[in-house]
Amino acid sequence: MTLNKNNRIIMHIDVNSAYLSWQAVYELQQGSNRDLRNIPAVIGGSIADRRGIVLAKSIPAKPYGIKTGEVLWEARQKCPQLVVIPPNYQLYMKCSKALGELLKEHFPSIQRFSIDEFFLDYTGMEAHYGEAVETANKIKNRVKEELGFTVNIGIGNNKLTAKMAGELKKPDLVHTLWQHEIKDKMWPLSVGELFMVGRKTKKKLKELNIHTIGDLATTDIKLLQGKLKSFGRLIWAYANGIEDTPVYGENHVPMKGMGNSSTIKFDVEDRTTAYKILLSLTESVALRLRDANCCCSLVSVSVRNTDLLSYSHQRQLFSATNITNEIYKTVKELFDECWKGEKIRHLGVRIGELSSDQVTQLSLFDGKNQEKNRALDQVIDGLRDKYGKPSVIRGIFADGEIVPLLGGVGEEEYPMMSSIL
Amino acid sequence: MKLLRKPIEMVAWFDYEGNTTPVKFRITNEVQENTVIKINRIIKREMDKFAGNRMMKYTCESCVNGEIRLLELRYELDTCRWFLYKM
Repeated sequence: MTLNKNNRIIMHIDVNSAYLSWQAVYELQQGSNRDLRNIPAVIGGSIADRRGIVLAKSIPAKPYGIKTGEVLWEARQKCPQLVVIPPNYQLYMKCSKALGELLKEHFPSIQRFSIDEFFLDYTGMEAHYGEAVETANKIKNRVKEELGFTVNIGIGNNKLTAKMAGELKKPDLVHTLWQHEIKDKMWPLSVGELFMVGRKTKKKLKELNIHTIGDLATTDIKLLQGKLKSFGRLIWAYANGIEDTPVYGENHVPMKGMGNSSTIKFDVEDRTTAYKILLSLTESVALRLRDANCCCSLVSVSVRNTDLLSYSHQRQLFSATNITNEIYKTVKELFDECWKGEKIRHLGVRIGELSSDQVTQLSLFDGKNQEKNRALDQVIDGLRDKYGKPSVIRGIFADGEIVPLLGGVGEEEYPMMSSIL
Repeated sequence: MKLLRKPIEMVAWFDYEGNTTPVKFRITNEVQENTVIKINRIIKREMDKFAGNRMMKYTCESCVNGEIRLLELRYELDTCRWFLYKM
């Protein structure tokens, strides 16, 4: 049998309100007599650290109008008896790994798309394991029985339709979205439901009088390309259910850049403190960069002020580097160029245009002491690897006001959300 | 059986295959008195993988204060702790 792109069978497995149901199941296992999934409950950061937003909500919290991403006090206003639980990323990793292990028992090719989402390729397995829907139901029930939480499984001819199918109706269900079902099942949905279409794009599309996915799919592609460039073509293809990337194995990480950012506990008003935080973020990013054996040639700084207005500034480097001090120098320059002097709430450092660190092009304008700096970074990385991250810190952080390596969720292998299928 | 979830001190037997068998345990009450309870019979053993947290569950029969009682013991693999979960 020849396998062309249209008769692949792809499944998408998505945990229903992942953080919340994992916490609920864990509490039940520990002997709690409440099930968070049946009461209005949310997982939210700490208000004292100003990270108080709703990360996940239970289904009974929905009727109160509580939305993911909302500020906690607002959610409490809407529902005074709301139960708020702080996040526990270690638990989430454990749950996600357990789910991955379970899937690995059944399927050869699995892609972990984010902490609570997996793609798997079922093509050619029907002969042995039965119809896709049947298998999906079996898996869904096994997860529920063994791991205690519920999942949605979407089935389609490619990753996009599988993912869209998984979103149709929750929880604990299996949906299909084959090519011939797209018109009936996907097209009537609001365009905001489509993968990759967020708030901003939705607004732009609204101006073009595109309200549903069907509108988008039937729009002239030239109009979209003119307005949204190559992204227009991408979402048009998605709206028509066209997508053909394979299910990547475990080792495939299409990394294009990395960054760390942090909401700060207090408002930053002066340059010195801002520099300190940027340094701390740069340390985290540079450590990860060297860990991935890469160099970067693009540095970007993002700032969010107390009015929740964000802006960023980036620059191409003359030659690729992975030296903390060199990246930090550029970060400082970028910050100076873009900061308007207002109070800062959130800072981020991002690097891109990665290249291998095995071969680097030297230039006449390289900074002084490059070899020395590189050796220094190597020693510090070695120490941090062996004795833990806080074992070596810069003197500037000795007062303990700012964490020496900011950013991240404290869980190293945590897979973040991705926009690349 | 009533839910207790009390941490206990356990003497257990680990065989060549990696099976764990609880033998006897000690439980401390509110006034710091110790009681040792011997496990007479293991009725059921199963692995609980809820939330990815592996726990061995044992349903056992023991003699407590002169009467035969059913109890559930749990062993949390990640933390190596034993609990008297239900009695």
